[in-house]
Amino acid sequence: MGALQEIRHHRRAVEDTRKITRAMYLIASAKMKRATRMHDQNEISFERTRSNIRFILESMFTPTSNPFFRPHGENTAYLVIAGDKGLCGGYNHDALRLAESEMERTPPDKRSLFTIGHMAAEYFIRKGQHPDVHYQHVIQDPTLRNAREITNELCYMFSRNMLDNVYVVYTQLRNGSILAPTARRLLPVLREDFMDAAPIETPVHGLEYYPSRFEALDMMVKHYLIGWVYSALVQAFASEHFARMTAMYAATHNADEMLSRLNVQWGRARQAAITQEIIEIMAGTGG
Amino acid sequence: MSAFRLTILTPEREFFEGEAESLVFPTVDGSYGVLPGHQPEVVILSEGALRITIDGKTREAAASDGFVTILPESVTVILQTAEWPEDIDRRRAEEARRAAEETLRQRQSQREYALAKSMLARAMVRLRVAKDVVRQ
Repeated sequence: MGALQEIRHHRRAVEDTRKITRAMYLIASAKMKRATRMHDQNEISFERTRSNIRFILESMFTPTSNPFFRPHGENTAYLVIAGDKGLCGGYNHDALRLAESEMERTPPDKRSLFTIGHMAAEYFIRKGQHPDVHYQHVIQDPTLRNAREITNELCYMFSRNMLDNVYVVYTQLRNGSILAPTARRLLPVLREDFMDAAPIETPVHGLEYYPSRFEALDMMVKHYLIGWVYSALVQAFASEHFARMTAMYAATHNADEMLSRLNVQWGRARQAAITQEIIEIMAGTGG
Repeated sequence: MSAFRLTILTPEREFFEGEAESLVFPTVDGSYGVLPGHQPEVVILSEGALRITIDGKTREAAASDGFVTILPESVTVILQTAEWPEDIDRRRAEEARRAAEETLRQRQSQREYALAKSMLARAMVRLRVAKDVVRQ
């Protein structure tokens, strides 16, 4: 009878675990879908902005006066985006490893660290490098408003020459199924960044700018930078939830397998118990 | 009345897409109007009210700063946020509520995570213990 009891306990434990992993799987997949929609929507205005910037840059013969196009010194900031939580396979680990190796390109006294997500902050604190700025709660709620605030802060520091380069380390979700940790330069902005944008159908006489093309460029670059950061946030969010979804799917699947094995075991144990009982009865009747 | 193709985009959504007869928006020095056949131009938009005329009816929308690309075939407005008046109060309220809830929710979420983690850990321990007993 003991074995039956044990198997039943074991089965209960597996069932409980499965309930948790299954719920986490469903939540993660819903969040991922939402983030993917946000990303696709942002992409439309982002690409139009890039096309407009490209057009201005190509029609200008003098170097631009926009402050964000001016490369200066060596002070480099790394904005590292990871999750607030684990239970999502290698997502956090891969992004953080990449961030660490990227940061080695800049001597320690020239670099500063910005983090988004508890896992990122904790990782670097463990490694003895405290983040200079940590944005709390942003990654669970990747809104345009958050993106705007972060962008404004980075741009402010850049224009005051407190920072000279800004790199963002985050995870892209390619083709909806491949996690690709990436390190990309946000600032300074370079002319080349726009040369792959779709050209706008140009009128014969070119375009007028009001009040001036420099002001138009400033406005567009502002929108471009916000769109860029927003896109990175949303992609990191989508990646995290994709990773969690995959991990929880595998966990649920394993639980299912374990349950069917336990069912077989339980059946056998039950059969054995019955047989045992029959033998005992037979023995008792002295047959 | 003739019309032109108007698209109003924010990073979060496509605010408007369709035929419009006129568009009036604020700039640094006063209102700027666009009618069909306007010369190609890029204009900086200041924060304020957009006035869009569709089928003879004029509607207003609150807008952040941005820029307007006027091409022969189309007019595209790109900005950070745009809202119809009927959405504003609701959205403001919504936003205030969200901001307040946000702090709570984040704390809650961290707690739930800790809880789920300990539940998992407990389930794992049960599994291990149960397995050990079965093996004996």
